[in-house]
Amino acid sequence: MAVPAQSSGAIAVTETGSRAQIRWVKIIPYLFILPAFTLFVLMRYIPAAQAIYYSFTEWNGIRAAKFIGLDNYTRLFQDQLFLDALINMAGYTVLRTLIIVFMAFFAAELVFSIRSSFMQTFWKIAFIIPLVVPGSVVYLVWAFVFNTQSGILNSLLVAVGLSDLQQPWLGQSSTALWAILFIGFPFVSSFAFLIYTSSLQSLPSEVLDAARVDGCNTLQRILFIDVPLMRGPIALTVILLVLEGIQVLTPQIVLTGGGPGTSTESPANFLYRTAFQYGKFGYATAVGVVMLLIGFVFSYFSIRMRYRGAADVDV
Amino acid sequence: MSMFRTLIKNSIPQQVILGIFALLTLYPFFFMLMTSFKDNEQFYTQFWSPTLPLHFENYVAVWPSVIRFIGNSLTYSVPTLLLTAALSLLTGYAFARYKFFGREVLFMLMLALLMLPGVLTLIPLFIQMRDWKWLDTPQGIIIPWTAFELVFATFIMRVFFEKLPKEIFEAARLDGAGELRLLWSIAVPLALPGLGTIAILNVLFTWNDLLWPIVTLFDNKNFPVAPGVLGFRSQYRTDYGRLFAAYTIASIPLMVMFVVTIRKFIQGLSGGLSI
Repeated sequence: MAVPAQSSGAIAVTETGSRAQIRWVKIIPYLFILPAFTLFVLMRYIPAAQAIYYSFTEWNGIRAAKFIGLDNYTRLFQDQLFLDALINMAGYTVLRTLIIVFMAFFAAELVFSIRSSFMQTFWKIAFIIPLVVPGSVVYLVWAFVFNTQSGILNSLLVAVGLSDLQQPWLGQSSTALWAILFIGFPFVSSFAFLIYTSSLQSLPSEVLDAARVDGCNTLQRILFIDVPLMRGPIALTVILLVLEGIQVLTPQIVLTGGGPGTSTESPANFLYRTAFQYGKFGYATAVGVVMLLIGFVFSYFSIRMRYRGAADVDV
Repeated sequence: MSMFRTLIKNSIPQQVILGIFALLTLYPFFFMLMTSFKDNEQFYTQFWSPTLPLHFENYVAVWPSVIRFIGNSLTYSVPTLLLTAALSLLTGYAFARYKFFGREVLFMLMLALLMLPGVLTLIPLFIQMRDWKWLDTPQGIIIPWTAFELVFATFIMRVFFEKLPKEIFEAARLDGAGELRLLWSIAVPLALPGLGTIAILNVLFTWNDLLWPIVTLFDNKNFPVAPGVLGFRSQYRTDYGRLFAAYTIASIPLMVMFVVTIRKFIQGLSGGLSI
């Protein structure tokens, strides 16, 4: 008699204990995410909402913002400097994305085709090293490559007897944007390369073996097996590169300031100068909103394309 | 010898092409290193080749000004890293190991932040820092950087914790470990490899960010490395040896970190990244 009573008492105790524990467990995840979300709200959501609001106002950052509807946007699309910036950015982004994706993929396939895994790691490391040089040092070193007086490129032209072709590469409108685009030549050392090499190595080996048994040559395998199976990583790198291109600002800050003329102006540099040189904060935030929309529309359609008829996922 | 044999036995054409790519990629940095040991006479007379004697005094001359920027960078980057690691661990753990109301919605709301361009929030955030009197202060750099980096870091930690076997946590819970105990003595030690990936991405970001320090710090003396080195162009305008010595020193800290963590970094990426 006593034994069942005792054991049921024991069960009752654990039950109340676990019920209290369940209530406590329900609050705990919210407590854990609270600090991070406090930061997100204060430093990301509120400023983003403010940016959208301010883009409809005339505002110098000091006096109260005055609501002016869509005026900033209509003015923006009549502002030749901004339109030039958009065109530069579009050209820069499209060309740079295509070149980097192609070259990084090509180099990744080369590395993947090497049989010795020691050498694979060696080449990976060789192309990762430049990624850890601080970005502004990279641009400064390239500034020296293009330097008119004693730069590497002009000195090379003199050395091979083509001194007539010497140019002030960054100092004239006709070549400045091309020179910026050329930075990072031969465009192998990039995050895209890292993502492609590691993704290639995780492709299902049964599929690759089957292709070899069926007499697929390397080019066929790359085009009809690797590329379709790599849609995810390729889409990821394209989106990252395009978002980076839309926001391009470092070459402008370090090298050209957007000049000569408007030849290297970018939307981000336009935003920066409009706000911090001319104090037109409302007008500048409208540029930011346009950039957000371009990035958003692009990402949306690329993710849709990535999943349309995709062979690598069950959708 | 065996290394040499694997070298020649395998894939020569591929390796030749890769070698050319690597030479072209690394040449500008090799040129920087080579020139950093030259005086002006050597620079102008023997532009293409390394020269002797090596002028280490270039390094001695620029050391004080570069080390200042490196010190500044550390005072901003280290707290940012610690905060990001601690908060992403806590948040990622909660998203991965607990079921709670609104979990997926909150997670998507957080991921949506990846879409926000930094320049969009630049102006409102700048005004907010001004109103809080945080302009020209370390916290005015550290806290916004943390908020920025925390999104992707939390994403990585969630994926990381979801990959760990559930049984470890359930067994500990049955043994009567409390929730905080579970976090501290099981989740934290297991999270170390994931935190390694976060640390590298975090330091790469904070070491390279140019715009936010330029906008919020008024005195160039307080600049971190990325905007700091920009001033050397006018400071050492006529002395390429010193200029490149300064750039080389500025590149060393990340190189050291890279050498220490390369194994973990490549491991952390294995399996690839995708969407």
